[in-house]
Amino acid sequence: MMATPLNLKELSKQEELFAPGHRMCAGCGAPIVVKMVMMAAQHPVVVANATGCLEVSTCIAENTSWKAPWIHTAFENAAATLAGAETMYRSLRKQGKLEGDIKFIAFGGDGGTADIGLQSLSGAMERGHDMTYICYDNGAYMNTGIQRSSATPFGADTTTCPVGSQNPGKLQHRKDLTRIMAAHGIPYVAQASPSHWQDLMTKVRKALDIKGPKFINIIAPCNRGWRTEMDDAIKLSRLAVETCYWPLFEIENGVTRITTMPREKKPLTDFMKPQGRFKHLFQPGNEWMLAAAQEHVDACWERLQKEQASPIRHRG
Amino acid sequence: MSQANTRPKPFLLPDYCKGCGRCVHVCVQGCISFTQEINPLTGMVPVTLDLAKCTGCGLCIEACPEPYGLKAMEAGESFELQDPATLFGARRSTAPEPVDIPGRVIPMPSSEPLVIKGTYAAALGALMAGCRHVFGYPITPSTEGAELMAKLLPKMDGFYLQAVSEVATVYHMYGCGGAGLPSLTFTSSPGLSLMLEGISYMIAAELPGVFIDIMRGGPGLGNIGPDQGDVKLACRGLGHGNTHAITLMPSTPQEMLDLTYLAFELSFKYRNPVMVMADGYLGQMTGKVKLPDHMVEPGLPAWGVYGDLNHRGNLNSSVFLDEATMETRNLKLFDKYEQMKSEARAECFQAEDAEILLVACNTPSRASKGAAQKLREQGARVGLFRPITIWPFPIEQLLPLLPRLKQIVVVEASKNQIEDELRLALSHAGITDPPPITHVQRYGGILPKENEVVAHVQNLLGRA
Repeated sequence: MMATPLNLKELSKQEELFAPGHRMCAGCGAPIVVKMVMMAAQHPVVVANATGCLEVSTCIAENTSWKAPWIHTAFENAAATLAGAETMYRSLRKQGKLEGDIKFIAFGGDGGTADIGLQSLSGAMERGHDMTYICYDNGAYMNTGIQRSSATPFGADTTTCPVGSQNPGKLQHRKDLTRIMAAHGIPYVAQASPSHWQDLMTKVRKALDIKGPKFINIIAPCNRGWRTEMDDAIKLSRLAVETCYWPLFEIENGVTRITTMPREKKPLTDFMKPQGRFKHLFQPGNEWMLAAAQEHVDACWERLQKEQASPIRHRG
Repeated sequence: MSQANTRPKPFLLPDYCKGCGRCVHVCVQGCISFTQEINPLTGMVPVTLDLAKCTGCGLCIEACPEPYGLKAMEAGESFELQDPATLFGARRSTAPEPVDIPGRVIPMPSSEPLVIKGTYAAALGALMAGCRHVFGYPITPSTEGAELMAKLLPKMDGFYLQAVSEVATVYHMYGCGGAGLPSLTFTSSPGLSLMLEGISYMIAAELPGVFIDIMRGGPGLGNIGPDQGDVKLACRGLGHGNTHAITLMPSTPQEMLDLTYLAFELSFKYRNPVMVMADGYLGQMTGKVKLPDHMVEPGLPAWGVYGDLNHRGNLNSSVFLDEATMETRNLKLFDKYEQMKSEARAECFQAEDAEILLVACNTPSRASKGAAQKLREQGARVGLFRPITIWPFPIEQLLPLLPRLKQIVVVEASKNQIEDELRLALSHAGITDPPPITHVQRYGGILPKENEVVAHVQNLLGRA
């Protein structure tokens, strides 16, 4: 099968596997991400979905947005469930009851991936199931009403680390999930953003073509939780890339490659300023937090560049 | 006598030897050797001594890392079947014995009633009871309680800690309860399922903790509507083993506060978790809530593994590898469960002369109360019996009503879960011929309605 070229004209002729009419909030980044991922897939796919915004809003009672076989599972178990399905398909293929190439994609939010689901994800990656796990990272538990997650950035205001006289927002840095997954030594790990759609779809295609476990972390702005304008999702995800808060890179067989180099690295405040969840950081007295956030981003960016310059192979 | 012979030769307490072999390697005479024989008491493979060539050099005694392993044998000393304490003396400890530091009751100025939702009321009840440690994992429809705690606790020298999962939450509580401090979590049905293992551990280790479960529609992910499908988990489940916990069933926001407050008292009184089970409506329902006229500053029990010298000798554990010890622990727990039966509570409404008795908890009890009033207006003798503790079931309060009853109607938002508790309690009380029991039930996030209860009872009366 010839893959559809990654240009808008050709892609628009393709059938969408993620249909409109779902009930994600207006302006949400997650369905944009999912649409791109599903559009990139050129094979029959089986999808598993952890509990979260995406799952509750795309499958309401008997109505579904998914034009692909889709399994909803518990919050902590998208990877485990899909690993089970993948094993079953592998067995069927062995028995000669199934032919052709089927791809397995799991979707989870940052809560279901970095927190409660990390154990089952780590297990599935280590066992080497042939699947692609997509994390749409909106930086908090948005489905239950904006509680902190381990992927919430430093300084952000959430309902369970509320800003007040005793607390200037989240005091821990974001867990670097992409690198944690890279440390599993799996064949392909990448970070993507819906603002760079060609980059995103190329990564998804690449991942789906590789045998074995793959992981892609994709930023998905949430205007409710980030307290931004409703039409800011793409603008903000682009700023996240340009400030190097969310660098676009891939680690293929242990070799790191930055896929999009920002022309000029913008200050992190460009990304934070439009977001209400960082509003308090711009008040007098909190300058140290802005500095600490910038310092962390700088350090991560520098490390990433070093890794690209001198690639270390994680596996033989 | 030569000098070498006056040196004491070693002896071995096989039960305290783990067969590490350090003595084997240091013995220059080759007196000590490994064996294949497993000690049936410890499951270890101790070494054996052959003292024919022993010079009493003492190297092996120096090498032995075990406090009760190899020891020099004095002339005429016998060690067989001796308690190590008699041979070696009691273990030395400089730590003073921990003492119970009792809590303090602080009077509160009277205040106007608040109008707040159920989860907030429960959160305030916990604060009044002295709880400053709240752990949680967000789950609708219970999250607001945790969010309020995240706002309030930092100002009160307490903390709200958001766990990475419900499994982690319950063990945070295990740790906090183990230190002898009151702790709380808010959760909902799927979350409670994940917590069950930890609750079983808490019960076995006799640790306090209060669980507020805002029940939602299930099974599976279900929905976020009100439900009572976790009653069986609280009464008959709570993880593996012979577990029980007092289970409180509030029916108003005021009771969400009062019963949460009570839950902390009971939790420490019995050193056992306490469940507060409310349906989804109660969590969200706004109502008038009066604050108590006092609050508690918690003390520190002697048994906690608090991080100071006094509490250093304490041990909280649920592992009892020796079967006999585990059985003893079980018997101790059963004793406690028996004592807990004195905590059974119920509310009776128009029940004294009732011929038809509605039995309901949580929000369905409010619909039932309305139904009972309506049916009274129509001349039917209908009353309501509302268990406030579903475990232990308030059977003592129910028994006096039984002789006049012609019908019992259980109103619940689950499949027979409350009815089964009622039937089991009747059966244990030796009631072999209870009045006919029928029910009004809704499932999956829907509560039985007042008019459904009225219609059911009218139907019964028509038939009678």
